[in-house]
Order: sequence, then structure tokens, then C-alpha cells
Amino acid sequence: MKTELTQEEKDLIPVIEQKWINLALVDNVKGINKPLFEKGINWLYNRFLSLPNPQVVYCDGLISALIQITLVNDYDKELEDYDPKMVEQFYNGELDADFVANIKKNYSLKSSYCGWSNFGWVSFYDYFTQIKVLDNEDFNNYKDIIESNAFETFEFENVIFAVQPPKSIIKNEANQLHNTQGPAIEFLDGSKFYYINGREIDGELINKPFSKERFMTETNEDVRGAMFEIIESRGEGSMMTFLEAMEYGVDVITHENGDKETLTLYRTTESFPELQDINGNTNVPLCWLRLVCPSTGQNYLISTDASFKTPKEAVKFHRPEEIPFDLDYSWASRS
Amino acid sequence: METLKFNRSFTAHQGDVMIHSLEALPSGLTKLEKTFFAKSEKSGHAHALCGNYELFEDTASGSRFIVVGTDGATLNHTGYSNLTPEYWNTNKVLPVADHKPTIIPAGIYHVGIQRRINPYKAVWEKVLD
Repeated sequence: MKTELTQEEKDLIPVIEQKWINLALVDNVKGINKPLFEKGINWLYNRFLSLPNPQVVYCDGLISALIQITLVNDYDKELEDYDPKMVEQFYNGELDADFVANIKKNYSLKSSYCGWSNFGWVSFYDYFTQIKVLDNEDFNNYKDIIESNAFETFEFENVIFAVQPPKSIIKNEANQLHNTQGPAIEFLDGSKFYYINGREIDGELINKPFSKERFMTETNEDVRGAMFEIIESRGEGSMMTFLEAMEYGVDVITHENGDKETLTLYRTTESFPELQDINGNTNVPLCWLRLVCPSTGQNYLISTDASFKTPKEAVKFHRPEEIPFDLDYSWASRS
Repeated sequence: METLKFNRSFTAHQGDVMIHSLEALPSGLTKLEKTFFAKSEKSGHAHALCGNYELFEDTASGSRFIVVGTDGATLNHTGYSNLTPEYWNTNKVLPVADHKPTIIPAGIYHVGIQRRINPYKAVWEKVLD
């Protein structure tokens, strides 16, 4: 039994990892590999479901798939009754409420063993297949379905709906779905999903402007957090302007090199129950520190902690973590 | 990493980059190939040090340190296109992008980036849990 990997085998790990990542994030634009998908799905139906090859319906997105399934499953309609405009009608609230309820109900019919959610474990066993530890015929055939890049599938006795991968996926530096300017995921059929820092949000927050009052009266902290991100993405300190924060303190520091630096602290008059300062106190205001770049004169408004009483306190905190708080804030060189 | 012993012999602040002088280099660091300290995707500029120095990192914390030799080093704020293989070892002031260059004298330094906080960070972390 193999107990160690060779260097060549170790070198293959990131290669296989990247292959599966690229399938989703690079090859998504190529769409489903139809011959590979049909080969795999026919094997699945014949081998495990004892059914003949199904009809394959390729759908440009999740919503168009669900609309077609709902038409056939719940309303005895034919696939030909589907009109691509129904996706837009879905988003505009123009479809019948019962129809929409059925669309949402039918999402639960999605396959648990096809689609992108299986990339993780399949890539793991793919690696061991590549280094010849495994050679399982069933796995190899099943892998064809996954590697064909179908985003999601909905299987029925004589038909399978295969959803094309998204045409666009936008993430943040932490690799979370995230876009403050538009949808984080967009499909070819026009269906869009909005995410901030990995959390799904109502697209209305991004597509329609909201007022300070809307922010202040929002009780859901996730939504308020998303609103903060959306406003702040317009430029550091945008939230400060949006909330009409008040000046709280000014310090003028004379540096070692003789430069004078003016630091200003701002805070909202309102406090927010979901916020916590570095001392663990909740229900605190939003605060900002204004710094001016000595080279360009540009103002920087950085979010700071509510516990600071003076700008000098705040600016010391914003040095790198390793710098002790009691080390004087003074620069021999500033630019 | 052991407690860092800062002295006040030299400190510098250029954009987001902050440099503080140390009494001694901590032990257990990994030497790195020279690279920029911070970059802006939007502007295409980077804060990059050139000259007579070595770059180190504490792998566990990601903290970075430099040991600058007697010929000194210069922290330029410059375009990516200027960061050629020849850039790193030649102590040279380049044309200013946004921030004026910072001349770093011989010594041992911690190099870090100005901290930002997201007041909603705890909300996002709680949410994702």
C-alpha cells in the first residue's frame, strides 16, 4: 500500500487543484461539454437508474431551468410553451404568485450528485486516480458528468435539465462571492444573483439608491452591513458623507521632520446595536479618521474604532499590529 | 516571534507603508526575494524598495523586515513597468508617481501596512459562521 507521495506526485496536487478551479472560473465561458455530459448521464441512467437515455434539455441559467420544469411539472405544459422573456418577467414580478411559489419549490428537485457542488470531493479522488492509486470504472464514468461542467441538473424519469455554468462570477480577495456594483453571479438567461462578502443580498440594494433613513431604519444587520459595503465602495469615507457624520476631535501633530499633520475624528450621532468596539462594547457609532497625504494633499477617510476619544489615539491604532501602542506617533520621513 | 524591540532612530510613512526601526532582527525569519510592499490595481503603481538591503518574513505572522546596508535603500512609489529585475539592487530615486521617494538609511526595520478596519467585519464573520 502506498504510504508516501513522490515529489512528482506532490507537484501534481496544485495542478489538479487548479484544473478544477479553472473549470468553474475560467472554462465557465465555454459552457457544458455536451458530448461528455451526455456520455456520463446516459451511463448514469442505464447503469444505476435502469432507465433508457434521457432527453437532455440544456438551460441557459438556473431560473430558465426552473421555469421550464414548473411549466411541465406543475401546469402540464410542453417545453415549447417556455418563452425566454419569462426570466425577465420573473425578476419584474410579472409572473403569477402561485407560479413563482412553484418555481421556488422546484429548486428542491435539484440533483444532489451532479453539478458544481461536487467539485471538491471529485477533485480529491481525481487526484488519486491520476497518481494511479485508484482506478474505479464507476467513478471514472461519474466524473465525466462533473467534468462536463454542468452547473446544476434536475433529473426526471425521461428528461434531464442541465444548467449551463454562469457567464460571470465576481469574488473578493477572500474568494467570496462579492460585487458592490452589480450581480456576483450572472447566467446566460439573464438570471442574476447578488452577493456581498459571500452573503446573498436583494439586488434592489445595488440597483436602486437607498436613503439614510432606509439605512437607519433597517433592522437586519446583514442588510445594513451590505449597505455599508455598497456605499463605501464608492470611495473610502463615502459612508461618512452619506450618514452626515459630525466632527468629533482634531489633533495637530508636529513630526520629527518638522511637518505638521492635522488629524480629524468623525462619528455618527446615531449608534448601531450590531457594532462592537475593540473593547467589546456594543451599540456604538460609526467613526472615521481623516488623514491628509503630504505628497498629494488627498484626503483619506478611514473607518476607525468607536472607542478612541482623540484622533491621536486612533491614528496610533492604525499603524501595523506589531507597533506597540505606546510608541510615539511621529515620523522622520513622510510622503 | 519574540517581542520586537523598536527604537526611534528612524521612522517613515509613505502612503500605506509604515517603516519603524528596530534594535535587532528577530530570530527564525525566512529570507525572501525582493518584492513590492503594496500596490494599487487601479493606478498601476507600487511601493517598492530598491538598493542595498535584504528582505525577511516571519512566516507565521506574515510580518516583514528589512536589513539595509551601508549603501542605503530608497522606497519609491512607481509604476509596475519600472519594477524590472535590475530595479531591486540599485539604490536609485525614480520619477514620482504619487508619493515622494523615501530614503532609508542603514539599519534594521519592520515594514508594515497601515491598518484598516471594517466596522462590520464581526457581523460578516458571525454571519458566515
